[in-house]
Amino acid sequence: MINQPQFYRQPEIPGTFSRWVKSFNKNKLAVSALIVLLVIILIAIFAPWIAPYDPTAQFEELSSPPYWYDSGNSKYILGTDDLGRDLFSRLVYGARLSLKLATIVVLISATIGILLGCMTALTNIWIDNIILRLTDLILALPSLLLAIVIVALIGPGLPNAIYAVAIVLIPHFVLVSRNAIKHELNKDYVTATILDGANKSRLFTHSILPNILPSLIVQLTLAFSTAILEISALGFLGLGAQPPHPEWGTILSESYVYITIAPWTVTLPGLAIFFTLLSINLVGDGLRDAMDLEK
Amino acid sequence: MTKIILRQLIIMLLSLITLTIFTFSLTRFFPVDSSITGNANVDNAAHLFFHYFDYLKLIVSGDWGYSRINGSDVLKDFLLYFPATIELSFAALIISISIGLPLGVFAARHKNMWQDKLIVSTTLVGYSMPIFWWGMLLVLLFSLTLSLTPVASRIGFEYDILPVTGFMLIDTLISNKPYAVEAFFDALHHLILPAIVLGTIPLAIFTRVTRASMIEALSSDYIRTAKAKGLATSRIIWVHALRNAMIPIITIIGLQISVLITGTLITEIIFSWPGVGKWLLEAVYRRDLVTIHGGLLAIASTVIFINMLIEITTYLINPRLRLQK
Amino acid sequence: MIINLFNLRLMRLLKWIIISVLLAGCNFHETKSVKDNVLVYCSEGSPETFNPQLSTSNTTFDASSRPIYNRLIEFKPESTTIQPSLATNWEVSKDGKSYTFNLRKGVRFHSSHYFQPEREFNADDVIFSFERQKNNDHPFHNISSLKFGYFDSMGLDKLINRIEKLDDYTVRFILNRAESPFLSALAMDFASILSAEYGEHLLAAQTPEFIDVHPVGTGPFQLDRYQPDAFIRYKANPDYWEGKQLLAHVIFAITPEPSLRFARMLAGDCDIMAKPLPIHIKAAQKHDNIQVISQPGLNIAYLAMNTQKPPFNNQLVRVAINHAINKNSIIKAVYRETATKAKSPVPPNMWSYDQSLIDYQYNPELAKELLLEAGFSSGFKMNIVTTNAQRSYNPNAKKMAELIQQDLKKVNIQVNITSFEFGKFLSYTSNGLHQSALAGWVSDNGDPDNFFSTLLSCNATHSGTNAAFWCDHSFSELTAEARSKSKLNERLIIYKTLQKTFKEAAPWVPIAHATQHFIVNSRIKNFKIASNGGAFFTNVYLDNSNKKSHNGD
Repeated sequence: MINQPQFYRQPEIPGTFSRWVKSFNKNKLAVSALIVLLVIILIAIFAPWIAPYDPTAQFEELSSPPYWYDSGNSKYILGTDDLGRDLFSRLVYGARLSLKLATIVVLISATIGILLGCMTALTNIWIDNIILRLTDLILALPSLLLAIVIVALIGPGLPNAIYAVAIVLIPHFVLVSRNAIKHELNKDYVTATILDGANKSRLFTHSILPNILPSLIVQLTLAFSTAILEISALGFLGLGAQPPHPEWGTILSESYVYITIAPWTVTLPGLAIFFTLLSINLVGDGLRDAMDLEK
Repeated sequence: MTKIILRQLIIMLLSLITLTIFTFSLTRFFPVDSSITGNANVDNAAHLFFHYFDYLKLIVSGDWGYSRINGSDVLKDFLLYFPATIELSFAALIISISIGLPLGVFAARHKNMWQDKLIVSTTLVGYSMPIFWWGMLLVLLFSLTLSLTPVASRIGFEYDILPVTGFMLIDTLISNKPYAVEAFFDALHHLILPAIVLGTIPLAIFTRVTRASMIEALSSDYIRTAKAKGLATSRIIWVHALRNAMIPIITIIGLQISVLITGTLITEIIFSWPGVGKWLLEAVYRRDLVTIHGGLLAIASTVIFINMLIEITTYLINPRLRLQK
Repeated sequence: MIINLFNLRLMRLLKWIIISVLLAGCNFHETKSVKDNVLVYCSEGSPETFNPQLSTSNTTFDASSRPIYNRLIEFKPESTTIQPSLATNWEVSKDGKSYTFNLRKGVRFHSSHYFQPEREFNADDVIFSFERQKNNDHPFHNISSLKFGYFDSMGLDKLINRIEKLDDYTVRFILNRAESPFLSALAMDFASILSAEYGEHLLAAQTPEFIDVHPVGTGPFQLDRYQPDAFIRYKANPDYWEGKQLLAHVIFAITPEPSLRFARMLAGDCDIMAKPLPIHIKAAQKHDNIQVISQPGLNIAYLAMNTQKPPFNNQLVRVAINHAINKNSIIKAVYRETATKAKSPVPPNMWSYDQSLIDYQYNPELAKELLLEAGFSSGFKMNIVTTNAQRSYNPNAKKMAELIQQDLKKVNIQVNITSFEFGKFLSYTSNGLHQSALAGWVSDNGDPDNFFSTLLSCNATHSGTNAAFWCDHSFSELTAEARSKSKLNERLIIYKTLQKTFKEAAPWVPIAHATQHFIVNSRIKNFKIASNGGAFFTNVYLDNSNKKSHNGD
């Protein structure tokens, strides 16, 4: 389910891999971010055990503040929202939902994007040119704008929001994989492999793929954070997950009404999004640095 | 020189054609407005081509259809709301550059010291900030708790300012109302908080880029020469090093257009700012497809146009690129 | 040369400018003199049109009929008793079929940059205003995509036989049958009087559709400038027949987001806030420069089940839903106790309300049994359509839908919620596309007929105000009969029967009757709430003696 540990599945090239780990480990900030991220992932996986209540269950206490407030109630650690739902449970389930959605989005867009990228890189120049123009155009446009327009056309709601964000992310993967492959194709070792008589698929899986993996991994983490941000932005604008889904952006947009009365229902879900994004970005930065050192 | 500009113009034209093909096919899949798309049931490819041509003619002649909700001219609507967005984005850009640039330089001068580390980690925080939450937080703090800034909109409702240029700061001053100056400051006061919200992410990015390119510039030979010549440190930094660090920074400013437009969509909703973002989102909520189509077309063309300008500027200010030919 | 811009001294200057602007802004906040005769009203949404004939929404009436127009007769503020307006007096014939009105002389229509009237108000304007709605061949009848919601659903097209001009200042309405609510119908917003001269002017200019966009009326204020979704600016009508208003301008600051509205109220940006949320009312009491004005509302919020669509064509299912929804928790969570529980289509403070009506009790077990009986042993999936706009009868329809979703989950019904912007919601439900909808109604004339015929008659399925699309012909005939009686007692008996029939058929789940609130700055004097919950700006004035009052805190 979680795409994060993909690079563990590359035992063929332990040398490179262990060097990455080593240089990544030097970056203390990135390592601690990774730990935070792992904790968030664990929370997401074990949400039903961690959350004290059902995220949609409604209790008597409406808009009860977090327990450290004077009028707080220790039954609800982070308080309740305006319908009396436990905010902590909603945020925990929100982690599950957000990470799940982002994973689906990244899987869809990475699969299609990388396939298209390989196709364009390995086929004739015309297709390459056309797809390149198209991706350039889409990349120039603000991705949230495109996602909003797509959702507007096919209708708001969770599945449509996923498609919209996935479509918007595809061009990034196309461009990154295409450029990486083109870059590798010009190198001597590829020519050598071709001269050795390797066919196209072997050339790709054995020679090119391992070498473009670093850029793809960095792109994956980047896409993951973009996906989380955009799904929650769509949720905030009322175009993504619909209530009572405990999606972070949706929770925020619901609680905006209560900003003057129950500010914690605004600050806490935002903190959840923020910490998740921050840790992913830090890990991404760390990975990029680690892999750059490699070159 | 002219060759480069010509080349960029052709690229822009190609992009615009791709864009219109894209929006044209949208009008095909989703019946937007018969006045724009012509007859809906077309099975012949040649017919389709002619229809595209008709569509292009309409778009170029400025007939973008009428809103399904209130019947107003979509292009006129866009032009009505656009200045508000430009004003906000421009203010955000000014804030982010005027703070980000010196901050980046400062960080570069103190490379790897605590000041640098503090700045770098702060920019990372800013970079990961979900802008809708950030906006709400600042409203909560500055408007609702401290009552320092107005809550929303461009100017106090009591001022009757006719949109002449559409830029509130200009319109207030050229209006011949007795309260023109007062209204100007009120407009400025309304502009500050949204501009700060919108400028946060660009600010983080500028700081990082400035820092990176300043570090590179400061370690180059000509700086060492300048130091050896005994030039004042501030002169070395602000004139010699920064000039060379400017090129990547300008490129980044171009890339921020996209970030800014994404940001305006959300900032305008939070601050009820009557700009293009709010206009487009209202249309989305009402499923006013004619307006959505027009909004997408207009914003996308603007982005393409600005990208071209940035390409040309980068070329003009970069002596290396200029001399390459 | 770009570089020189960024030298240190300039940076310091810039910093100084930013700080001084921040401070300057704060200072200006306290010395707003422009505000002294300007009233800012934070309204909840953009009007659909500036012609009240074409709407049934109070948001539109607030922005059109009350400031811009007058009617022949009008309701007194805060009540449903009528008083003369453009008609100075009237006579009803003995058989109750003929109404003769004497019109006010010397009333001028608004003069603006788009139209300058050459004559004063007369009988032609009255005939024009009603013929437009009644006569299918009238040049203005079909120019709008909006429907004449009230005129049609009240059956006035069939009721009014003809309107005669006796002379310039006398008109006579001839009815096909006697009908007691007719006078109060003429005081309703849709009966506003438009200018016939302006109509001719627009026809000549071939822009008849401008009549609904650029309004010309006789009211206390005239439209100055409108920017959709931003603001509506009115100026006092200098020729108003009751004398020019003290307020120079009324500005509607369109703020659909209730929290933003409240924030603007606290910051002193608004003088009056429409439709505060129940939580705002509590919060407002802590501030001494603002006050809450309340009035029990003549309204109802209900879940309309589309009886023409399965499974709601089955009465058992509808009753089951009635048993499955916990109204007490809705009133607690959505209204914060600022509403009373509903069981009838009419509110308890309206005559004709049947106190003895027995409501379906909250009982999920019974609901399950009923569903079993109806053949839905494993439950079903249904869709609730709501609006994300806040209405006077329902502060948060989405929240209400979520609560209902939870309740129905307990009886194995899976609810899917779709939420639209209000205009879209109205067009969606009036065309019967919904399976069920969280709708609501506010009385506009204080007559129970405004609920029974407008919301539940067969006529109203065509005009789109019968959101349940429930058509029981004997029910409809009885509503017509009640209308024709002039004695209150006779009508009362019929209305009680109708409420029983309604309860048995259960086309709705009646949920709540909300109290109407406005939050008002203490410098506002003489502000009144209309009986239908709308805002009245006529004769409002400002008391600026306490300057501190609009500085918020």
